[in-house]
Order: sequence, then structure tokens, then C-alpha cells
Amino acid sequence: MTGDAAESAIAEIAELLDRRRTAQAKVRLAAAQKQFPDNIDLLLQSATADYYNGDTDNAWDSVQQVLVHDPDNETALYLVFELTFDKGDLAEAERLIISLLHADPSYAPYYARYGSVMIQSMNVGKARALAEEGRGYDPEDPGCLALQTLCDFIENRQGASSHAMQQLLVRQPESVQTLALLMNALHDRGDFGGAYRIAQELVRAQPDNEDFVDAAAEFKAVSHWSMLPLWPMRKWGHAASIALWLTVIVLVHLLKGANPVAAGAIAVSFFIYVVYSWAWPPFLRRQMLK
Amino acid sequence: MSENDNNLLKPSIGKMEIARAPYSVTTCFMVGFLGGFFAALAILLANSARLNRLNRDALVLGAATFVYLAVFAFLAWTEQGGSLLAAVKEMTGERGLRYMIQVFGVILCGVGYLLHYKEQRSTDYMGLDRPSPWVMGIVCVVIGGIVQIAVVLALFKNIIS
Repeated sequence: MTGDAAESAIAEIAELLDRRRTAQAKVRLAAAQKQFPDNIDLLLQSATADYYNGDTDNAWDSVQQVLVHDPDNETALYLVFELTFDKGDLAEAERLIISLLHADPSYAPYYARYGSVMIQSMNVGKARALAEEGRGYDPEDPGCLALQTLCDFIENRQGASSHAMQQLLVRQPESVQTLALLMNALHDRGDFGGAYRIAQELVRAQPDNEDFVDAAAEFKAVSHWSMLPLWPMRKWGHAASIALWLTVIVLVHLLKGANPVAAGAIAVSFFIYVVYSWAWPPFLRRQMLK
Repeated sequence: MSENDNNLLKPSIGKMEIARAPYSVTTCFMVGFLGGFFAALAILLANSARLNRLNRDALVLGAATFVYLAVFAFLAWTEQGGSLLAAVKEMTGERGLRYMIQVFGVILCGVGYLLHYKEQRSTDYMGLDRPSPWVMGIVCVVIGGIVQIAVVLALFKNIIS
């Protein structure tokens, strides 16, 4: 009975953690750990909940306690990898994920996470190779599909119409990872209204995720009517900025002899536009976050 | 596991080899536009160092510098070059040479973007923190300016004197 109760609590907490309902998971964990203080799985779930909450110190403490009792616990070792990766120690994170892969070389999600380490260390080629390797073991693994999509975005291979993106949209249309990539794809394409709608979905799915909240505020600001004059810069990026600068410089130079008033008006207007482009978006974004 | 798998699972990151987020494309463009070719070269070399790819980029940036110096040597030392420079000054005024230096600076930034666009996009997608542009930007513009003046004085000394 005691074992059943513990298993039931663990299953319930696992479901809450899967949906990132960490506040509810913590409440349930507190009760369960009072009842079963020596249960390693509950300790590991506590470490995971702390990790999702950003409480990395407590997460480290809990996961180290698990490893003292069970040094080969794969879930605990994987959490150590995630904590190390988040800390920014890429060399150690790589060592940890390689050791996990040596223990379980056919587990596709590990290839996806190793690929993320490679992307962060600017090794996109190896990241793509890892995604392909992972998909060799599980062609539909969402992590490897997402990694491949990210590599496509970085290498600018067809953007949102990349094959990997298409497969993710078919297989995992509502997963947070898919939505986040779709949001990036729409942003790349200049569809800020679409990106904002996806960001709203992400915030609903994970309301405690600050990255999604920031993204929603960013896209809401970008889609605001007062940002319309900046649309060419958003759509075409640096090429548009460079073209505008050069056009204004050439125009001012050509006009300053023939019509100095017009040249002055263009120069002043452009100065106002530059100040507006630098000052208004961050101000609007702060207002959206309030 | 195949041999390819074994290679894939060999560590790629040594203790001293982790690439750092580069200065942004906007920073590079502003430095190149304001400081000219050698300022752009300085900021791109800084990015290459941060990305641990100085060896890979040295050939391209070296070739670009050679082409730049060759163009200015052509303008300074040949009759056709002198005529071309005079024509540019007629169109743009006495600042024609300065505008050319700035245009080459922007062009070099474009070359730098082609070299580093994957790393720039990786930085954006992974949300990595970029370094503050101000100190390096000012240093590059100042150094670039000093080097540019020295080059102009060396190449155009006959015209100046």
C-alpha cells in the first residue's frame, strides 16, 4: 500500500512537472516527501522542480544527494548535465552528455541535447550531424527534429519551409518546442502578428517561462501601429538599414548644393527617424511588459 | 557503434576553445561606416578571435586588405588612378577619398557577415549575451583611423608634398 501510494504520488508529480506546473508539483512534493522522506525518485523530482523554477542551488543539492545513493542514476546524471549546461560550462556539459550517450547510444534525445551544446559553442556542422545521427535511431524524435530545424534556420536553409520544420508541425504541432521554433520562423519571415499569436500560446502553456513572456511583449510591441515606420528594417534587417543610410547620405550630398533647405530637411528627418528607431522600441516593450 | 559514431562522440570543446558571442552585425557596420576599412578590419579580427577562427579567416581578411591597398596604390601611383580619383572628387567634393574609405569599410563588413553569419545567427537564436560594443568600437575606430592616416600619407606623399 505504501509502495502504491508512493508510486501514485510520483506519477502525479511527474505529470505536473511535464506540464511545468511547478508550483503545484512543489506542493504535492512537500506532502509526499513528508510521507516518504527516503524516496530517491521524489528527491529527484524535487531537484527537477527546483531546476524548472530556476532554483539551481537547491537543484544541485538534491541531485547530489540522489547520486550519493545511486551514482549511476541516469535521470540524475542527465539533470546534472542540464544544470552544467545552464551554468555555461560547455566543456563539462559535453563530457557529461557523451558519457550518457556511451551508456545509451540509441537514445535519440541525448543526441538532440548534445547538438544544443554544439550550437551554443558555434559548431553548427556537428550539431546537424548529431541531429541526423539521433534521427537514425528515432526518425520522429522531436528534439532531433527541432535541432535540425534550428540548424536550418541558422544556415538559412529555406527558413520556415525547412523539411524538419514541416515534420515537427505534423508530428508535434502543439509541443512547446515546435511552437517556439514556429514563432522564430514567423519572426524571420517578418510576420510579427503571427509570431505574437504563437508567443501568446507559449505563455499560456508555460506562464512562468520568462523567455516566452519577453518574446510575447517583444512581438506585441513590434506589431504595434506606432512601429509601422520600422517595418522595412524588421523585414529586411541589416540590408535595409545599410540601404537607407547610403540613400540618405547620397541624397543629402546631391541636394546640399542645389537645394540646401531640402538637404537639411532630409538630414533632420533621418536623424529623428534614427532616434525614434533606437528609443521607441525598448520603451514600448517595457510598457508591454508592465 | 560505427566509426563515424565514435568520431561524433569525441569531445569538440577543449578548455581554451569555447567560442564566445561575437560583436553584433550592427556594431561591425557602425565601426566600418564611421572608421573605414581598417576599423572594420579590426572589429572583424576581434570577432574572429572571439569565435576561435582567426586561422580560418586570416586568408580572406588578408586578401581583402591586399585588394584594398592595391586599389589605393592604383589611385595614388598611376595616371589612370589619379584621373579616377579626380573624377570622384568632382562628383563628391574634397571628401571623396574619405567616402571611398568608408564605402570599403562597409564592404568589408559585408564580407565579415558572410564569414560569420552562422555564428551571428546562432548567437541570436540561442539568446547568448553579446559583449558591450562601446569600448571595442571606439578602440577600433581610433586604431583604424591612425592606420588609415599612415597608409594615406605613405601612398599619397608625392601628391601631398
